[in-house]
Amino acid sequence: MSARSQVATGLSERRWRGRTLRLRRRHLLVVPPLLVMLTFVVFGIFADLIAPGDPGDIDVINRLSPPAFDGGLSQYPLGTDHIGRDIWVRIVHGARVSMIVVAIVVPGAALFGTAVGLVAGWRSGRLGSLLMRYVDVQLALPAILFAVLLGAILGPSLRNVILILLIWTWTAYARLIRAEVLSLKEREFVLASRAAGASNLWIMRKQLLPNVFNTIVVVMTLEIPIVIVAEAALSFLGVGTPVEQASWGRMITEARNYLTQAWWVIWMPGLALMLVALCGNLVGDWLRDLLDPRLRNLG
Amino acid sequence: MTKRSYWNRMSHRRLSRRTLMRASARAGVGATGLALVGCGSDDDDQQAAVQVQQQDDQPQPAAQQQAQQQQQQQAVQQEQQAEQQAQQAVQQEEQAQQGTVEAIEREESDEDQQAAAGEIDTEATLNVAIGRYTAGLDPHRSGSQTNYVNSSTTFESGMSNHPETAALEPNLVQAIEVVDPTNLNFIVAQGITFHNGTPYTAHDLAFNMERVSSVAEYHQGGESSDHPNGWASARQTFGTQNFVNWSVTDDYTMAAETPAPNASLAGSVMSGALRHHSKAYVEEHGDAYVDTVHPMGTGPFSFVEHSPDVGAKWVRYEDYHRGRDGLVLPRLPWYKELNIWLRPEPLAQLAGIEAGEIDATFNLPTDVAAPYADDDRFKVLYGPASNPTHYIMFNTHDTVAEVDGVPNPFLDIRVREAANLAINREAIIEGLLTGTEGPAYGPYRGTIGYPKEALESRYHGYDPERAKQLLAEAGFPDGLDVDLHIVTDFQPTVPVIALVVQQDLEAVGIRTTIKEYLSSEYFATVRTFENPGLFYFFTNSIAEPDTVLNSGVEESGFYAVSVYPETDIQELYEAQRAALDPAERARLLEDMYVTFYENYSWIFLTEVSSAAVVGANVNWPVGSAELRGEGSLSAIQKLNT
Repeated sequence: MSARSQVATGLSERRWRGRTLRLRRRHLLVVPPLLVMLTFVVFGIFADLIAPGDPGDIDVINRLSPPAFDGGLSQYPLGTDHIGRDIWVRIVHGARVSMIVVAIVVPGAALFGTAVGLVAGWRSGRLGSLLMRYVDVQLALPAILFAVLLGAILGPSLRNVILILLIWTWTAYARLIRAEVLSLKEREFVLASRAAGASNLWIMRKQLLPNVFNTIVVVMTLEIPIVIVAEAALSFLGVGTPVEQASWGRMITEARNYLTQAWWVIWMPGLALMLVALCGNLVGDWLRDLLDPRLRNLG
Repeated sequence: MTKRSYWNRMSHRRLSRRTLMRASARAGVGATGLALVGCGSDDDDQQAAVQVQQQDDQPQPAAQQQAQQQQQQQAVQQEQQAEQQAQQAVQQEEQAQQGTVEAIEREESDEDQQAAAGEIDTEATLNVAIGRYTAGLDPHRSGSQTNYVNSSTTFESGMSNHPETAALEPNLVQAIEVVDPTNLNFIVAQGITFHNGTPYTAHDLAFNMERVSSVAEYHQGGESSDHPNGWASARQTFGTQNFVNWSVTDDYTMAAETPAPNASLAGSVMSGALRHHSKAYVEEHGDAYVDTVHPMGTGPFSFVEHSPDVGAKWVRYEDYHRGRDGLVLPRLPWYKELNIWLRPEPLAQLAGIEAGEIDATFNLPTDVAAPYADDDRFKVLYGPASNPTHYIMFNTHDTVAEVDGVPNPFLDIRVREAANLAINREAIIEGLLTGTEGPAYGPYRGTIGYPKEALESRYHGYDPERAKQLLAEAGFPDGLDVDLHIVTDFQPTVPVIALVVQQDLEAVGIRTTIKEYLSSEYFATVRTFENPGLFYFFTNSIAEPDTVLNSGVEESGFYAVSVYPETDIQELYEAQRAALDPAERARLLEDMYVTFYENYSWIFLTEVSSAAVVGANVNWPVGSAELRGEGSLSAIQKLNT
């Protein structure tokens, strides 16, 4: 082995080790956000066990009681709100509301948006244009205004929140998937399948869908915090979950008048929302890096 | 939370002899006036003229005074008798309060001295924050908050209700002369001028009545209601629709005919509901101009300018026809300029106070304002909210006689009683409100003829065990499921109280699902009478009870969700409305209130307060009056610091 090649190999090893170290560090960094997201999921599923009690239970005599660690009552670890509801119980049960919304909206929008994107990309003629113009129109509308308008028409309920967010979020998938399909359908393996007489459905199912799957997963991950925040925003604006349902957005909107006299009422749900949204984004970024071969090579 | 008994404040407040005499005399004269309205003879040639007390500060040209004296000789005699009686009552009261008179006079003279010494800044500018702006400046058009401000600053009503006694006081309309029970002469005050200097006459009165009646042309849909007349005008037209016709007989007299004797007429038409424009001004500039650019009236403040969704400005009308007498009624303002600023969030309003940009803000949730009471830089005031008593209506209409094939449970009085016994009003008052409110018994307790003792002695109380027993007896041992319809953007306390009510009802077995509405759809939904269940509602704070009874109790009322044809409530309602004798009307009203209450006609909840926060240099002697009420803004004093 020449000196040159030895040097090259040494460099390559060092690079490889460095890359491995960086990757390992990156994987380690995602552990805390993953734990937070896991906690969020556990809260959502086991809310009744973790925080037994009705989130709507009112104790007006102990309204605005501070958290136990700030001199409040031990029975209310995170304090009570303006009508005496237990903030801890409401946060845990609010996580369930957010999780239900995420569990339905994210896969639902992904399914519908992917189907539209596949069709629009594959049938890039009149049908594809028509579908994409609709997507353009919807994306051109200010999202929150659009959602508030729908919310005002449909009224506040969890079902309507889910419906609004489904209508709101599917376009992101459609646009991305179409772009990918437009590129994929010119690739040799697709052309070969077409030449061999494969049906459109077969090509979409067996060749296009697997190739856009990574994209779908990454977008889904990134949509989780968006959907959680959107649900909270709708509830904050009074067109989301109904008044009797514990949700983080509803908790924040009800607490805003007490910002100066009872910090915990707005801080606790705000903190929960911020943590989950932040960690959701971090996990999404990590997953994108992990699944995207170009970014993986750059690592 | 500190106890602040605004309801009882008057009973603890030491009144000056002068104030007592004035109030008693006016109450006596008002009562006599109403009695005379009621006693109008059918005999046309025997006119029972009613002349309400002329204000001391009301200028009257000599010739006109003479003519009026001749025309109303009988009324003057009766007035003198009434005044004598009132003065006798005052003397008796004076004797009873002998011990406090000296101190009282000292208080009042302190105030006079303050003004004389320049402690009250009569050249001050007052900045007030409000939560909602309005789509228009014409009080005939919209009922939003700025318009309330505008209504009671730029404009005035024909008569005012005394803030403590609820008795009618003359204002633009000085007297209602009864020709016979269905024919009335409205005698308009002389010497009152609009802000542009033109005199107020009977032509203006007739024009304003005409204007609010011709709703089809002007009120093309309210801003916030699907009612063709909007909210505000609905009450105005309710008043004017009680007339067969009206016409101006001379510059200071308007003759009017009513289809039937109507005891509530003066209170519903002349006070508050109908604000008075200048006929010439509106005709010259047009409806749009007065609504969007520059309204003009006779009120204590003259409108200067406004910037939609930002704010508006007024200046004191120096030629205002009433001086300062300490009453919370339209009076010559203590300060020179009034600026209103839009600050939608209560915390933003309070931040403005803290920053010194705002001098006063009102209509705040009481618990948001409460912490400011502990800060020397501010004062917190409490008063009845603009919708001061809250209740829940059972839908008992024929449209919901059966729900899903099952008879409407609320047709059974035992279920209604159970719902009333389920509510822990004391917990709501102590826990959520200021602790000084009382239970609701129906209309606002400040209304004419409110039978306080009779209702309080019949208080339903809180007895969840009895409630469960009643439900079981009524055939609902496992409880029942109903919808509770609420409006979420009308008053901040509504959703909060509704949640507590939901819990209380559930505890006895009445399981409710809360259905939320924005006000734009809520009132229309209520009026369909088609949705079964419970409807959260509230009374207004207008002294004339018929403004509530007509819409919420009378069977054909807009919001009469709870109707009980099996009782004599309707008969009593009709009878009190036709009872022109005030004593008789009060007796019938008492019977009706008590019957309505004992029938468990609504779920009677609680009174509700609102709060104002002002800077330490602001004195707002609002007493027990509504903070947003007529005349409250001109009562504010800004002190020199």
